[in-house]
Order: sequence, then structure tokens, then C-alpha cells
Amino acid sequence: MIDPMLRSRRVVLTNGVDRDEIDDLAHRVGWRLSNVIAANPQLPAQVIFSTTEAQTFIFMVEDARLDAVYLMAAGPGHEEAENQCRQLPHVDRETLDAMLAPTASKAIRCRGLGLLVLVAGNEPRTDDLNVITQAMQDPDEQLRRSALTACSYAPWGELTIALRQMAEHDASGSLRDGAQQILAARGEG
Amino acid sequence: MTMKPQLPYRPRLSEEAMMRRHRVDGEDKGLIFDTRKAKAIEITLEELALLACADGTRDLGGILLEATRRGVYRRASTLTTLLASLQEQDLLSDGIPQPPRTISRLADDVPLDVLDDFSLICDQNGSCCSTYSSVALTESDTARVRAVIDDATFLPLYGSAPSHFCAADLEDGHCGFLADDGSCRIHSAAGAEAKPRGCHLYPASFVYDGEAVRVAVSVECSCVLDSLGRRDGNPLVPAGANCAADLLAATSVAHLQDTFQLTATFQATRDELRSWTQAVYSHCVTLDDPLAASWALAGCIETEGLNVSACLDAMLASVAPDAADLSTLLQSLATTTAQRANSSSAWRSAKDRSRRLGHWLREASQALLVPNRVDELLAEAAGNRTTDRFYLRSTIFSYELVAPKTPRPASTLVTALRDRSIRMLLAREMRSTIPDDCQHDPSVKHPITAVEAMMRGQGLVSYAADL
Repeated sequence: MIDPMLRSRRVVLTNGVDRDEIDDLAHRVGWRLSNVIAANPQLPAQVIFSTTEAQTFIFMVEDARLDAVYLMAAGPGHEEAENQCRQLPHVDRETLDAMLAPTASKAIRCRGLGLLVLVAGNEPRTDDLNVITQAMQDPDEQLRRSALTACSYAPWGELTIALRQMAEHDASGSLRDGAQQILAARGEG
Repeated sequence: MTMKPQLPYRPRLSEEAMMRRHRVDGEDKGLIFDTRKAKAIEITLEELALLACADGTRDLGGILLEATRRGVYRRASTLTTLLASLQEQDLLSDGIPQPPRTISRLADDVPLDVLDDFSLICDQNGSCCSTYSSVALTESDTARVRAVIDDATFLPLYGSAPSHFCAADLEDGHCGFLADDGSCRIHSAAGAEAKPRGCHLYPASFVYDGEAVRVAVSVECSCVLDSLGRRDGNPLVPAGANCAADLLAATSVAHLQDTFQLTATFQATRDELRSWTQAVYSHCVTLDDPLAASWALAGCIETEGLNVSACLDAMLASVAPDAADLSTLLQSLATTTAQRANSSSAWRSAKDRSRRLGHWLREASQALLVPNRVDELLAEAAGNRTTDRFYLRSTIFSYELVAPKTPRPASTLVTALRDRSIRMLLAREMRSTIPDDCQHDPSVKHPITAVEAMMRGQGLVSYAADL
């Protein structure tokens, strides 16, 4: 079992980064393919590499729900591995800001919400929380749904109030149910 | 990034394909031979190594992990692109292969029926090591070879799943164990007994027909025909051998199937075929023109089936076929040999004997399409037909007409007999089309041996398979 403290942030790859680029990086920095896990109802598809000393693992996760591919390292060498992951084109804050700007198209904003929680990890900024909570109250149901999906990835306590409001008051029954399920999963239902 | 879903779940190369490692002019290449289309596909050594991991027990992820273990993983897309390409060509199967049909072990007292009046004097020129697309070894052969040759590597004889038979790597068309001085590296390292069993037995063939094991000889090497009339050669079976128990250990005995297609609509049983071949083959020694006789036999079987007396009458009274009747087969032969020769030129070394023989066959096949040329050859004075007589006699006796050893034989006995007439005609033509700078090749003296070796060994027999 890897110490949870020894985990890197997620490095979300930009659209267009293909498997060849990941394989090439692995070859260049000396990662070795360690496991391949097909997608199933409980887990997204994963390709797992290990570093030479086989103590640090790099997970390539294909998350179909968020339409995202990200890399994450775990183990004593996670910081170095994360830096290596960042050699690939990845989603940075600037890109996220552009995706989540009110002027961006709805489809891009929806996707941006998911990427935001992946990039922010356990250290959300106030701006991140605001973006999510505002989207949860947006008149557009699709945006609210994307925000709720993003919430299911974000163990942020600051979202509890917004989730409760959605569970009680959202116009969509399925979103009310979804918010209730997330709260229950957090032990706050 | 998800892998292509249309691929088999646990892919492997199908048994209709053979993968080989082949050193050509000093450069190692990977090759896949599609035996159905008689076509070679070049692949990289990395692709070959990946494909060797696709043995029907692993899904795509498992193949990549095995490739990592073997140190050949580089990019997942190399595998998926290769598999997609093979899938398009219908060369992939899913899961582990069906186990081979269980053949009951031959009883020790099954008698041997040995082609009479023949002993082999091997000319030691190595042509049998230089002509075939596969040099087959059993598991025990490979174990023996690995014990004495450090760099020996093998691939499955067919497909990519592990099998009892493996194939040696090749170099410029010859067996990878053939040294520059023409000697066998296995023989040199550990003596004749260490050599693969198939090499020991070549060119003998062993077929169990329900009553006996017929031991004959394939006319694929010039030394076979040079041995005719000699009595000082090596017998096809050990001296004094008269039953299966006397055969060399691990002798591969093909089992004749229970029924055969005589024509597209008529079948015969194994027993009927045994009786027919027994009655017919011995009369080959008196034939004026074996080419005409083979053609006449085919015509008779079409109308009379395996009626022995009718067939003997037809064979002994045969006259040369009408050239027009040969045209469909000749056209197909010309097309197939041209395709094969062009394909060979694209990747085989100029030093490669099978490339050279392929070009001979193409040139001769093309020449046979020239108006009146077939008439001229058919009208040739009988002359010395000793080799053709022996060829037809051995072919009938050995059951090669129903091809227990050939992956894609002619579809019916009638077609097989006509195919043999075409082969004899082709060999006649080759006497005048083999280039002067090839006169050193052992098959120059007996072109039919080159035809035979290429038909079976390189799959050219497929020209007749669909006719």
C-alpha cells in the first residue's frame, strides 16, 4: 500500500496528446510498463508504469466521464515522476481559466469544470470553489450537471453547502438525487 | 487512446500464416507468409517480437506486458497498428488454437510399404537447405540444437501460438544453420545425430494409409533423380526395417484422411484410393509419355471414378492433351509465378536460391503462353522419359496427389493429376529458359525438381487450388 502522502498531483494532458507520446516519454525517462487495466463499471482504464527501482508508479488514467486523460505518480519518487509527466503538454491554470471564462462555449465550460477538479486536486483555490458553486446554481441544467459530476471527484468540504442546496432545491429530480448520493458517499447525507 | 475494439480479444496469428526471421544481405527482417494467398508481408523485427507475444492467451494489455518482460515494448500503437493490418488481411484468430487432431499412435507391427528399386545418393550440395520457406524442427530437435548452438532461435511453424513444430531462422533463403562452407552447423557442433529429424529423413515421405506406411521419396532434389538406377545409395528406411517399429525414432508419419474429393462432386474413400494407387503406380515404368498419361488419368477419373481397369486403359493408351485444354491452368500458373517472382524480388537477396528458382518458373510459365509453344513441347519425341516416369510413379505411390504434407493442395484428385501434367510441361520448357549464368545450380539437370520444390516448399501449388 502506497502512503497517500506520497502521491503527486494529477497532470491532465491536453487534447491531442496520444499514447505514443506517453510511451515515448516512458522510454526516454526509463519507466517500465507494469500493468494494464481495462475500463470497467467501477474503474476507468489505466496503464501503469513503474520507475526503474519499481517503488514509484505512474498511472495513466483514461477517464471517460470527464473526457480526460491524466497522469499521476505514487511512491517515494512521485515528485520527480510528476515533473517528468509535466514534460508532456498538459492543462495549466491559464488554459483552465480560458475554458471556464463566461465567454467560452457551454461545451468547453462543461469540460473545464471536470478538468478543474482534476488539476486542483486537494488544494482548491477560492476561485476554484467559486467557479464550481456558481455553476451548480447556473440556470443551464447541463452546466449544473457537469458541476455535480465534478463534485463527485472533489472531496472539498467547502462544497457541502452547495451540494445540500442542490439536493433540496434543484429543479431537476435527477440532479437532486445525484447531489444526495454524493453527500451520502461523503457521510453527510 | 482506447485500443481498437474490432480486434480479437486474445489475438494470435492464424495458422494460415507463417512468421519468420530472415537475414537478407546481412540485414535481419521479419516476414509473414500468407499461405492462402502465397504472399509475403514484411514487418520489422520489433513487430515480429511483439507478434510472438500474441499467442492467443493474452489480451492486448497482456501482450504489451509480455513484450515488456521480453524487453521489446516500445509503443502500444506499434502492436495495435500491426494487429489491425493483419486483421484486415484476415490473418488473426482469437484465443488458443484447437489442439491438433489426436492421431492414434501407429501400432508397432504396421507394415512398411517402401517404394521399390530406389536408394538415395545425396550429392551434399545443400540445395535442400536452400529452397524452402520453412526448415521444420520438433520440440526435441530444438532442445538438442539449443544445447549446442548458443544463438539458435525458433518461431512456431505456423501462426504465433506455441506448437510442436518450430521453424529455424533463414538467411538469404537458406537454413540459418547452413554455414558458408556448405556444412551444417548443427552437424559440425554435435554430429549427425543432433540434426533435426526432418533433415535426416529428407527427401523420404511416410504416409499411413490404413494398412501400411508407404515410404516414398519427394522428387524435389536433383540427387533423387541422379540416384535412379544406382544401387549403392542409402535405402529410404534402415536396412531390414519392415514395420513401423523399425522406423527411426520421431519419424513423422502423415495419416491419410478418410475420404477425398475426386472431382468437385465425387468422393472416394481411403481404401479405394489405396487400391487404385497400388494398381496404377507400377505401370508408370512402361509409359511412353507420363505427362499425357497423367492428363488421361484425370479425364478417366472424371467419368469413371477410380475404376482401375478403365484408368489403366486410359493411361496406357494416352495421347498428348490438346493444348487448348491446358490454357486455364497455364494462365493461372503464369499469373501465380509472376506474382511470386515479383514479390520475391522485392525483398529476397539475389543470392537466394528460391528467388532464382522462382524466376525460372516465371520465365518458363510465360514462355508456355506463347502461341504454339505448348504444341511443340507436347509433340516432342518421347526420348528419355525415365525421370518423368519415376516422377509420376513416386507421386502416385506416395499419395502426394492428395497432399498430406501440403498446406493448400489442389482441391480434387483430378486437378492434382492435371497439375502434375502441367509441372512436367513446365520442366520441359525450363530446359530452354534457364539462364546460362545459372548452370551451376543442381536443378539445371533435372528442372522437375525445382518445380516440385517450389510448388510445395514455396506454396506455388496454390495456382491450382481454386481451379
